[in-house]
Amino acid sequence: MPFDFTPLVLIGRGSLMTKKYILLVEDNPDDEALALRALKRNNLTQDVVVARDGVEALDYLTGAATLPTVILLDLKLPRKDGLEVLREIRQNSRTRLVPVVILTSSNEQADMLNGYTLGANGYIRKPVDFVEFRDTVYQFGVYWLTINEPPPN
Amino acid sequence: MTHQAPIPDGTASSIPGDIQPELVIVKDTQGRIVFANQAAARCLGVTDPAQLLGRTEQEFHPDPDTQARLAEEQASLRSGLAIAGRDIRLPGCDGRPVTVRLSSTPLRDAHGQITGLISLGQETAAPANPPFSLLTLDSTHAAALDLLPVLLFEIDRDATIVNYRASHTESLYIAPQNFLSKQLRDVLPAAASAAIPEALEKARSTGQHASIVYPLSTPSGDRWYEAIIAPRQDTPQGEERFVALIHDITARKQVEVRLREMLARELEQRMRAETLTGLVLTLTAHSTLNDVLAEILDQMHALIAHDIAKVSLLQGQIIKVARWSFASGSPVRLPPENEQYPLGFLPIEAEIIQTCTPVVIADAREEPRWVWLDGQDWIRSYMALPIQSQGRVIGLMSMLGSQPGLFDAADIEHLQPFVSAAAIAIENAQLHESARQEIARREQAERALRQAYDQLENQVQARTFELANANNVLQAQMAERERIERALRESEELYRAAVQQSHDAIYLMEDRRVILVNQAFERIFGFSAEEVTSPEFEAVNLAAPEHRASLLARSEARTGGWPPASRYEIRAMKKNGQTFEAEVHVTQIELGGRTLRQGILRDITERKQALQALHESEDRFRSAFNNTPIGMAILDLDGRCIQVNSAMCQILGYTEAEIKTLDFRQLAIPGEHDTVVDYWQQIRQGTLDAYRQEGQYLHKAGHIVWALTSASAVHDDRGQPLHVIVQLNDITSRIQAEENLEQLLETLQQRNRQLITAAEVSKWANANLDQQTLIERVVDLIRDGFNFYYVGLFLCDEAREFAVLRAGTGEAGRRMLIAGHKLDIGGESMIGQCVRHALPRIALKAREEPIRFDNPLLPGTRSEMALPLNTLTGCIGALTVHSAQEAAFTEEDVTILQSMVDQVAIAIENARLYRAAQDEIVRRQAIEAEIIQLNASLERRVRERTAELEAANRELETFSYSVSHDLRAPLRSINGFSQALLEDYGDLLPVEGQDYLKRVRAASQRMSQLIDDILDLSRVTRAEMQRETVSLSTLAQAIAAELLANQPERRVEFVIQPGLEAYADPQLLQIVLENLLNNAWKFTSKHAQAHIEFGQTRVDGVPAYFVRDDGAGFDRTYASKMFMPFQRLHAVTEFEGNGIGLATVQRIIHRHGGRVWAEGAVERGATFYFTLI
Repeated sequence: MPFDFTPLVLIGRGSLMTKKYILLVEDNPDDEALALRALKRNNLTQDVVVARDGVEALDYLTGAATLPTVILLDLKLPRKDGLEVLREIRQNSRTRLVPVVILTSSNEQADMLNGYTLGANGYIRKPVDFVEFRDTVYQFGVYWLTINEPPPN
Repeated sequence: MTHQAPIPDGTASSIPGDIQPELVIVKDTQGRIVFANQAAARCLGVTDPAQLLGRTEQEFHPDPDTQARLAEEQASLRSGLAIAGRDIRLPGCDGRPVTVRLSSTPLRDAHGQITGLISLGQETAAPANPPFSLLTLDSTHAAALDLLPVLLFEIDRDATIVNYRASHTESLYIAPQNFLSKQLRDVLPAAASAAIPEALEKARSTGQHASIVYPLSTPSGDRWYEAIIAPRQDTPQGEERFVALIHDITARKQVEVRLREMLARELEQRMRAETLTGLVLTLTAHSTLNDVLAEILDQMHALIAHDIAKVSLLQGQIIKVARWSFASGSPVRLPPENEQYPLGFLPIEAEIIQTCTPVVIADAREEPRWVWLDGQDWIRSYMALPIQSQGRVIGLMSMLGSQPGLFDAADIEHLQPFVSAAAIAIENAQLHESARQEIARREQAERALRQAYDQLENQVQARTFELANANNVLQAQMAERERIERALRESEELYRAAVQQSHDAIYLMEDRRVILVNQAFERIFGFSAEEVTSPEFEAVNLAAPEHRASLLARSEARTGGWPPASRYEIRAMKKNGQTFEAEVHVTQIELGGRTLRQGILRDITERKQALQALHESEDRFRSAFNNTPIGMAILDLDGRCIQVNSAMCQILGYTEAEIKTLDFRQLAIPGEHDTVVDYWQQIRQGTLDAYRQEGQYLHKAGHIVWALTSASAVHDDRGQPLHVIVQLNDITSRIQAEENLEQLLETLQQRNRQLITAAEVSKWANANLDQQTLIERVVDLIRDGFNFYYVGLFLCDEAREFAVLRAGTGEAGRRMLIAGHKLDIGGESMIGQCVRHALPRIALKAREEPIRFDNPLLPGTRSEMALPLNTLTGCIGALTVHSAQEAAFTEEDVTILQSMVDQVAIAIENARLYRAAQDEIVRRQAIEAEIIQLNASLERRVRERTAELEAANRELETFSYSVSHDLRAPLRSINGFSQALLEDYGDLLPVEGQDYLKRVRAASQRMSQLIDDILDLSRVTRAEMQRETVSLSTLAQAIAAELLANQPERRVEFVIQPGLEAYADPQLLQIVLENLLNNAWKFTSKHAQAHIEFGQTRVDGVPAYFVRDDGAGFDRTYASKMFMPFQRLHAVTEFEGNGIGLATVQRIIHRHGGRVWAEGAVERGATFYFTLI
């Protein structure tokens, strides 16, 4: 099956070169929709770039003029899974300091351990309850986009 | 001029001068011999007097003495003076010079002119006419004493030699010399001289003998002598005399030396021999009991720690501490010297000896039978072992300790072989002691012998004895005398001269009147010829008055005629009344029809005195002869005793009278009889002069007497054997001593051989040989070591029906083994009986033994013995021992052999056990191999299962992972989009629709929770266990504290038993306690007050932990369901929960190998128990 390349979804057409934004790496369209809905509800929609698998995410980062303020990374991804993507991000001198927060439905200790070991900056388990999820996303956005000082370029 | 009675011519010539008892020589004025009789010829060394005629004496012995004498004789011829009697030496016959007392008188013719010189003489060395018997006896005694191999000195108080008998000086290596007036010390070697004063003093003060033993180096080797000094009690009063007897004791010394050498050699052999154990070797290296005991104690110190060790020996009913030793630095009081107690006084020791069992006392203070001896209150521990020898307790070996419990049964075990070795060593030492005692006894016997000699010496009364032939000799003498007198008459001229010159008074009588006398007569009697020949003079007056009556009576009685000649001794009386002893020869002469009697009377006073002296001398010899401890006898050539001393009588057991009736030669034992008779025959033939022989005689009482016999012939003048002097030296005691020593040595040697054999057997028994090799070695060793005829060894067969021969010596043994020789156990054979009853059987006379298998292959068996091979499990066989001698086995043999057989039995048993152990090992190895194989397959299966399990786990993990991801994703979508629908289009939906959407959302949330719970449960199952010591009390406290903190409003009392620990996985146990305590918390929530307890109890012997509450409890019908996943006993509305907690608890407890269960009732609380392994 030919790879169905869907261009990055850029939400909010502002200047990406200067603006703070989130890179969401998520292959499940439902989850992507729900995540964007939660972000939108929290007025963070214009700052989100979505990559639908690991390779795409890495390609984007390679080509992006401005690196995302934070990356929300699912672990279960086609082609390259989340932990591999994380390893490559940390191995790349350009991206190695970019905050990465793992967003996954797994609560396996092994996943948490591996994630943090590879340099994840946070680990968020996706709640099944959307309201709860929306609250989580809100707090996440406030923290990473406003409270937290990103690493210097 | 003397008056001479006329003697008719022709008669004198008939008297042959050579029969003259005296030496008669007549020389002319030139000194040429004109007449000499036979005696003179003998003295001058020629056989015929005619050889002398016309020659001078100087031609025969031209020595200076003779020349001086001849000059003297010439002077006499010139002066006419007679020469008084003087002793001269003449050459004599056969090179034996004689000393002659010679007097010479010039001869004158009718005109008074000197025509020659007549010399008359007698041999002075041997008086002319002593009784021949006495002379013979005297020399016989001397000869007898000469035979004694002793040197006899008579010494005075200052040890000055006053007399001696020294015919054996050469054998004693003292130079022949004149010992008189010398000191005894001058004639003995320096080694002996120093001891003389003391010995002499001892002899003098005690009256007993004193002995000096000294060595002397001689050209023929080193010899030993003994000088015995004894007081002589038959000496005249006031004189103190001693007899010193010196004799050769080399033989005795050699026996002693030989004994010592042999003992030393035996010991050396023993040293070299490979003996039972090193201990026996070490212990028996000492020959004295004391050394052995010291060594035993040293060894004891090395073996077992103790304070005091003792070796006690049993003497009858007395237990005597022979030796003790103590460990230096021990806090003990030493035992007293010469400690000894009656056995009845010490009950513990008495029991040890009686039962022959060792005893260990851990604490004497708690031992009721302990006897507290003074000063021994320090003793706490005690151990004693019996010392056994040949089945008899001879003593004890004991150890004392100042601390309680110092000794135990293992020490006894440890010491047991040592005690056996010690017993052998002690016994050995005692054997040596007895050997020394044997020597001492023999020396005592020798002392007794010397004492007997002393006693004999004291029997000073000289016994007179008569010689059977004395009278005969006398008669012969008489007859000769008569012939002499007859012959005298044949030479009248010479007779006249001789008569006139004779020293003897010569007279002629007719009837009772004297008709003629010679000058000597006048000189001797003091009467002139005229006075005597006057018709008034009665011849009887010449006799002493006391003889006159009998002479007259005899004269009357002779009316019928006088005998041709007679001789008598009479006391004669001189004119002046002085009497003197005289010997008278009377010869009857018929002259022209007249019957005359010629008398020759000789003054024999001097001779009597000489005889007296001779008697005294003889008494001394006789005393020695009689008193010597050596048996002596003078025998005739037919072996009849003429004279015998008391020692000879004692040695042979006969009285003097009895022995004189016997033929001495018949007294030798039959075996030696021919030899003795042969000796005597040679003596009789003159081809043998003496013999020495160590021989055996038959005592009157029937026993054998050993004696050293010396016999010597005594010859008469013609060299014919006359007597035999026999001397018997009783050496029975020496021979017996030698035999005893030989027996003793034989015993020692035999014992050595046996010990060596025992050691060999022991060596092989311990050599871990296979059984067959062992028993073959053993039978050969015993046969060779004991010199038996045959030795065999039987072992029982499996069924115990037969004793089967397994080894046998020699060709007979080989043939029996090939034939499969076996004997019924319990059957009619010694072996059969021995094995059946497990007891030795001994047949000292095999031929007479009723129950015995007479083996045709062993015809030489004379005594036989069967010894059982006893082991702890019973008799396993027997050793058969055959000897070619009857009664060949002593008790000691049996003991030693039995001990060897015991060792063999143990060795065989050991070999059997070893084999059994080997079989066991083989079986075990087979089983082990099987197990290893099983293990291998098990391991493989475990690996397989593990691999399967791992695969399953991986699958499960993958599944869990998928569940957590893939199942939750749709739930999120359901939940999220339901919410989105409500938010975005809720207005378009009726209330009912909005409610449905809310239910959709709630269900998705429950579903999510269920998935989490399942994952949790799965994780509990999969997680790897890490056990460590966990404080359950601490865990419970923390959980309780958190619960109380979360809901402070609740009134719950937690009672948690402190200090409870378990070896378990802490995280899993945390989950267990959380679940149980949370449950308790939850199910007591409906009660205002609650009580929750965590503690530990024991159920079925194992610790069980519990959590108890007084809450809602449960219906016990469902008690077993509680632990199933998702099972709930209460409605969710009543108590929240998903029913997975207790399932999780159960899985964790099961993983720990424990079990979990619950007790309770509705509204009466619940108790959850769990155990852990």
